[in-house]
Amino acid sequence: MTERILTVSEVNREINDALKKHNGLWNCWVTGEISNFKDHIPSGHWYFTLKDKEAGIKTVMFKTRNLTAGFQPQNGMKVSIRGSIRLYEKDGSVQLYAEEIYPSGLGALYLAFEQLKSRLAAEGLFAAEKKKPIPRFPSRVAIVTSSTGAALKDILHIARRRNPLVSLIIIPSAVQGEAAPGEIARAIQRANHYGEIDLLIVGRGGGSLEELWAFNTEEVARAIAASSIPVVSAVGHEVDYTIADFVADLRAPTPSAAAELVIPVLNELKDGIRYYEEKLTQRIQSVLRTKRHKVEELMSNSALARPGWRVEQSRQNLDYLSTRLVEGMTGFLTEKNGILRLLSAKIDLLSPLNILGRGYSLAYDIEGKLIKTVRQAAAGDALSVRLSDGTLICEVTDIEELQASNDSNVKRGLP
Amino acid sequence: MKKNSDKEAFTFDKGIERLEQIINDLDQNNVQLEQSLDLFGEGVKLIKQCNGLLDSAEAKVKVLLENSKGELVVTDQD
Repeated sequence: MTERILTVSEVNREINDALKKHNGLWNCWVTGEISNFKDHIPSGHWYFTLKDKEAGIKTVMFKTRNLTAGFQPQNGMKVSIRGSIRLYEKDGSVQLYAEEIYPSGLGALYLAFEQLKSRLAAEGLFAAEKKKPIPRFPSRVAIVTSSTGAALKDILHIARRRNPLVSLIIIPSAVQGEAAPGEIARAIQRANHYGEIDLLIVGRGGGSLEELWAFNTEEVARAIAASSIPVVSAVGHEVDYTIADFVADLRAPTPSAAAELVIPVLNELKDGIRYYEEKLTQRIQSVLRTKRHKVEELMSNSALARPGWRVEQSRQNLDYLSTRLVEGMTGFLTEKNGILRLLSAKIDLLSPLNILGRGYSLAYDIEGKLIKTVRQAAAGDALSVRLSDGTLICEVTDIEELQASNDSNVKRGLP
Repeated sequence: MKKNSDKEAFTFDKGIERLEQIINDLDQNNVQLEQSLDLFGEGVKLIKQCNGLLDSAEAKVKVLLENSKGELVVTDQD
């Protein structure tokens, strides 16, 4: 047996080779609890120790790997890691190099919840516009829950107390355990198939996260989304939020609260009808009163009240018009009169009578022919001489003819 | 199925909804006299129907199950 002295490098190489030869360590799943977690800045690599009750192993998850982890590890968190065990030769430590990391236990449920929630939200299953209205006065309410659970007892008790006239239809279903999601989904489908149901309450009483888990499954979520009957979710206690709550048309904080929310109190309904009855009577009375007022108003204000009023009105109008007519006519006549006077004055200037007025006269022979020259008359002729205000009947006693020189003067003076 | 073929099955919900509408309509001042009397008559009828629904026999609690043949069975709860 040769005693050979190994270098540190050689030792580490030997260890690393041994690790590589061991398939189970080269690509394996390890589960444990995170401790001493360090998110290294600025590299972004994660360093922590994965441990169980008795042992621990240094673990590193490089940034390129941890970017897709989808959650932030915390000390104390139980996780499952896929990776390889290798030696970090610099300080001779054996480390787990993590490739994938998942929370296990509650962490895993939480992660699954978040993933399903964001997937269904992206699909639009929680959209407000998808919510069906909850009938205000359901007459048939179906309850999907365990037939032996406290939740059913609570709902039945409260529903009977509030309104014994609402039909309740129990659709029994397991609400926890492996069969629960399928049974809940089928019960919802059964209710829809049966029809004649106004509202569906789906739920169970309080329990641990695992016990409520059926209401966080995709199967139940899709059954609720597909229901044509409005669904009220009633899972666990007030603080418990499940996927079913997000998909449902209404979330009740507890099963009892669901009954309180959706079952209207009978006496309140009766009061409601009485209220409507009173309102209806009030309204019709008010309408009739308004109509009567209108009639009275018409009677007192219009021709109906004073039959002569319209005639008087017409007469007054007529008076006004006739006055206007007279005024108008007078004005017209006055105006025309002025024009006439002006014209006649002009005519007067041209009238022969006017010339006579200025002292001229006209002489006619007995045949009424105008005498324009002395040669038309002879001594002894009777002439009628027209003056401005009458006629003189004269006899010609003598004739004196003017000289030729004067003749031309007379001719020149003529127009 | 039955519900769909029975087009305008009277329900309490529909009755109250229509009543509210009638009262609203009567609130409008421009409603015709004849129309208002018709509305009133309809309202009185609706009130009777709604009261009738509330006075009807007490409803029971039933259980809806699926039998081995896949048929839906309704039984009274004990």
